Amino acid sequence: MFRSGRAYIVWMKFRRNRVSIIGAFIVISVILMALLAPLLSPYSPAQEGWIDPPRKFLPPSNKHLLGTDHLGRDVLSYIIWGSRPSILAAVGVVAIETAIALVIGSIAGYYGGIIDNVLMRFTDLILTIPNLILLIVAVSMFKVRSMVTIVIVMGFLWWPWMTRVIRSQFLSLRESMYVEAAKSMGASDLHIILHHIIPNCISPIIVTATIDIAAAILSLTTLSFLGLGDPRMINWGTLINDGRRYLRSAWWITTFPGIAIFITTLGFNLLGDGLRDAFDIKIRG
Amino acid sequence: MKSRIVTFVLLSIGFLLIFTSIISSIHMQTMSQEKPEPLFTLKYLYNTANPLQRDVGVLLQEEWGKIGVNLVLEGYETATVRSRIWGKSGFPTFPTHDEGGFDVYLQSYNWIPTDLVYYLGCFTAEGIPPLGWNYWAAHDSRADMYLRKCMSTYNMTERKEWIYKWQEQKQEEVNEIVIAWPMRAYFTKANIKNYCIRLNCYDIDLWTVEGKTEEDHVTVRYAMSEDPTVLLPMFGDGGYLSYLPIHRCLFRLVYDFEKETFSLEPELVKDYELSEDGMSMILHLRDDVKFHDGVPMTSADVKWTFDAILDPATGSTYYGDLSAVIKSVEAPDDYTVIFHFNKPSPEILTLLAPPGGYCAILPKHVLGNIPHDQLRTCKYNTEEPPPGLGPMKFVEWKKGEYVKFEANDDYFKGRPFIDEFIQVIIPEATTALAALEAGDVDILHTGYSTELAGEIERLKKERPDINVNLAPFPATWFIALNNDHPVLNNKYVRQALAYATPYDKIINDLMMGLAEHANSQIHKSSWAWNPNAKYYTYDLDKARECLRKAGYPEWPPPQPAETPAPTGPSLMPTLGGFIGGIIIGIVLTYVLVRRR
Amino acid sequence: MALWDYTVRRTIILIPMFFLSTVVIFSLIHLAPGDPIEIMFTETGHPPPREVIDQVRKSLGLDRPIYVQYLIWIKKLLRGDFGFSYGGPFIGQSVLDLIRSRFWYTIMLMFTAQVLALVIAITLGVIAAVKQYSIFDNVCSITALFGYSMPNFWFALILMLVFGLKLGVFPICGASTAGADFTGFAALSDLLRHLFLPVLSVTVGYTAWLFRLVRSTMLDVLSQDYITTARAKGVRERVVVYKHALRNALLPVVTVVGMRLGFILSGAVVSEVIFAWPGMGRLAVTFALNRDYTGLMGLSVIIVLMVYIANLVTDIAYALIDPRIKY
Repeated sequence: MFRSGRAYIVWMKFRRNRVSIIGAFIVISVILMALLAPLLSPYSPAQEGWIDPPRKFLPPSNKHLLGTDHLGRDVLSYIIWGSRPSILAAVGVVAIETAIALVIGSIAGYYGGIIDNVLMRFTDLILTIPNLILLIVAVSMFKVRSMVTIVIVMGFLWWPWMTRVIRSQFLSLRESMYVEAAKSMGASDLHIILHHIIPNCISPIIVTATIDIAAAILSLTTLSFLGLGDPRMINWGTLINDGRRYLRSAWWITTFPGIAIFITTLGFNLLGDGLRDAFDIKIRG
Repeated sequence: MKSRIVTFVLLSIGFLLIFTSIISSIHMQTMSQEKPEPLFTLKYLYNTANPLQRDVGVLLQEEWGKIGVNLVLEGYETATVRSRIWGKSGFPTFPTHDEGGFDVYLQSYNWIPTDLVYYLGCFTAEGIPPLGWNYWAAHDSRADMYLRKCMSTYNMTERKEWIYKWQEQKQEEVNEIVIAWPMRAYFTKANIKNYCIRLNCYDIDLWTVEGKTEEDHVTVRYAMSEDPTVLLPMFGDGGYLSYLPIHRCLFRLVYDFEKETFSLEPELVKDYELSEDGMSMILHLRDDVKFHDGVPMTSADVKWTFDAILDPATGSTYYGDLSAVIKSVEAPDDYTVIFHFNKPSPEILTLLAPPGGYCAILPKHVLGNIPHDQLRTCKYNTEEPPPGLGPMKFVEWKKGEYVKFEANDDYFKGRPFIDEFIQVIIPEATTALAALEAGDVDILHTGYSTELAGEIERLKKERPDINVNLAPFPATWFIALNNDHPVLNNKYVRQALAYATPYDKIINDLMMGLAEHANSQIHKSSWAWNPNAKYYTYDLDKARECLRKAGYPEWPPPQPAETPAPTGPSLMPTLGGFIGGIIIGIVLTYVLVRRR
Repeated sequence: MALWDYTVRRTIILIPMFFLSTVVIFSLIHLAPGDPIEIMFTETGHPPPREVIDQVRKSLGLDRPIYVQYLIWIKKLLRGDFGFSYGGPFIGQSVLDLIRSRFWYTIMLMFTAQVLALVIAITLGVIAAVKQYSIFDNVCSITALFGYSMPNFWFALILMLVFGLKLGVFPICGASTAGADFTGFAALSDLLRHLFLPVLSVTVGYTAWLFRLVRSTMLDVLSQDYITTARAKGVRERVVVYKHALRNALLPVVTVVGMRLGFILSGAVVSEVIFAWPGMGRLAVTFALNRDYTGLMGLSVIIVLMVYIANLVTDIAYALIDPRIKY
């Protein structure tokens, strides 16, 4: 059943690329780690013994593979449990971004003309304002910085890039034969967009989304590092922010979550690259 | 055909994994649901910029949870936290967290160890307008009475008696849970001598540098975390300490503390006299003191300074404290000043020497023409400080980089040893320490001390050229409780919380041992400290007993059936999970790569 | 004079763009919950009575509808009045002065990083593209991917640890040795020494990103028909690469670089905070942590303006390089 069709070709191409296989492997492992946190981690935040101050600053050993932090939490367990909010938040950002981008991008790309012009100027506008500055401004204005607010704010600031990708797809697809055919058969615009065009621009969306997840993880941890994240969440950025104070005497608190972030973003970047090559599309950056 | 089988196997493994993970997370949830209903819920307010506050909250959440208290952590930024703590004093009862106030909050105060003026302000309803600062703690009329009696007599024996009783009463009532008196570590180059950590550069004229002589051009660099907020001392705000080193080397107070014993010493005055009725005080000023621009200081400057602070239009930080005591200031001749009081004021000398330096004497000939309500925004407060009386003269302020000073040759107590003093602005504590280790700065501001506590052991071992000795710091850490909260208004509940607080863990582990278990708001170096006031210790049985006295049922509720003993965390699930994960990974990659 | 007309036209287009972005920033700040006046007063710890607060709110025009507030704000802005800081360590100080004292430091940091990154990325990117799949290409690509995936604050911390502390070769904080009165060459070398680590930490992530961009566009161009034609005509390989391919590959690179100036700026924010570089990024974080509303608005306007001017310069440069562009 897979022998023919586009999906199979993509799959063959993807599989042939060793780098993207590594990427996929990393991504799958991280997601599994997040899902299986209760099984993998020796300690759990819900249990007693998660915090134990007298156990603080233990270097990596048999008992604590990656050491303990300043509150006596096991760094390994922290990283495992921390993968949940980190990945969930990044996925949330990308989901919001994609939803907005789909609406704006498809309207702009499908109708063209003045609507396209206005929407694209606005997109460029948001795109030119430096991302982190805009994020800092927006996030700091909320009284309570919960993870949910941050994710929503980020999603609402990140859509322009994705919008450009979707719009360019729409521009080329709306001239295609089958769209013409559908139009001549009297299909409504909404029907054409939903049933004919969007299914055909799934691949660039997937690629952009994968790369954006990596960028979102980096941005979220940067926010936490600057002290603008959600301080209550168990997440990697918070641990680095805490461990930074003990950088020289307890290097493991900062180093290991840093490596976790690094590996995760690397995995998503590799996967994105591999998918892009497999889908054979061109996206800048 | 083959690829179908492979896909099938891969898919089934994936589904199996997802399935087990869902099952296990549901299992985790049911495990946490097995915990019995908490007795009551409290909100813990903390400042997101203060990691220690949050960490104590995390610990209390765990420990208080053991006696059935559900502590919810709520973090806000500085402005919101302050408005929740300070901004609500107009209410008839102090609002709870859900009403916009707070329930539980970890607080630290810097105290004046020799006298009690701040206590009056902070712990009674009549202190600082409109209704006292810590209004939440001011509901114990008996403690109020003791304190008020203490503050209205000049007789030391009586004062001591009342203040002792006040402390015993406070500890019995647990208006707030007193935790510890902190210590601060020095973090200076070892060759800096005579530096006193408590004085924030006020004693800069006494500092020397080993290995340098009077002839050498001596430069000392001092790291601070922020630019100065305000340049005129009267606007200093206790929350931001970074302006202090600047005020303290530029300006002088009428009276100030002696370095070692912390007794009050005359600074700009020769002597003082109290009137018979205790309602006024005459100060005899020194006649050899000059401002940095060469103009001599006279009583007119002193009068102008106090008049400005006492004018509500100025909006001085010190208005509340000072106006509660001082009615008016009179300057009969050039070197005499008379203060008239509203009431007998045994604490007057302390009031004239606040550690925040608010009433430092300012030059009338420079500032006199500025209307009081424009002082806060005038350039002397935001750009360039006016000439002061201190051992250092202002040279340059490069915002975000440094503030530079040079020695004042005409300083009335003798020219300082240090020729040039530079306050470098380094926001990050880690960077500041690195700069100290690299030799870029000589002294770190005390504000970094708690953040760098984790490095003290290492520095002691590795760096003999850096001084990290500990010194007691006149402050108290305590957990403020909203005494108006419907749950916390019960004395036994507060006692239970005091017994359930893990003092040792907070002091030894969170504060890195940089503190000493306290039994009173008053620092133990003070004459007023009562060594017999009750010390609370961590004792869950007593805590549960107190809760029963308060009328709460037994917690955790007695279980009818046998409960499974909580299994301690073991290495097995990790190792198993890891090995399993690695095996799955290897299999997956093998399958994927093999078919090239 | 066609170029002149083009410049003028581009500048005129920028004006509505600028106003639109001020609207975005303004509404971003005002739509979020939280009252600036409340923040301003509670900051001091001694809030005045309700009537005084209402009085101040009225005198600052904050009781008006939001569009009136915007008009007042923009009117003041055009007169160069950025207001004063509402809270935090800079309370009461002029926002414009604060920004002015930090402005050139950020420009210095960003400019150096930008130039360095362009030189390194273009050189390596071209070589990697020409020798596709060679060891050099693989090493560069993998390094770039690592650099691109690395959290830059983490990298900055490690730089600080290694160069500043373990080796002690570079100063790790500030922009100059405080208090040292260097002049001429000594001052310059002092500045450069302080600049080194912040620039390095900004450059690495950015260079990695740029390298990937250069490499992929270069590969793209090299596979074009006209390159094949040129090669078939017997033009020497060096001329093909540097004359035909590179010029065409640089054009998209220039556009994207101008457009994504924010990338480098966000790197600058992090390294300014870590290395205590007295720039605008650090100011932004201080403002944000204290929810200083005037400060943030003033700062973002300046940054937006800066980005637009940079874009304008890029556009003009683009027009100069590319003969195909229609003025």
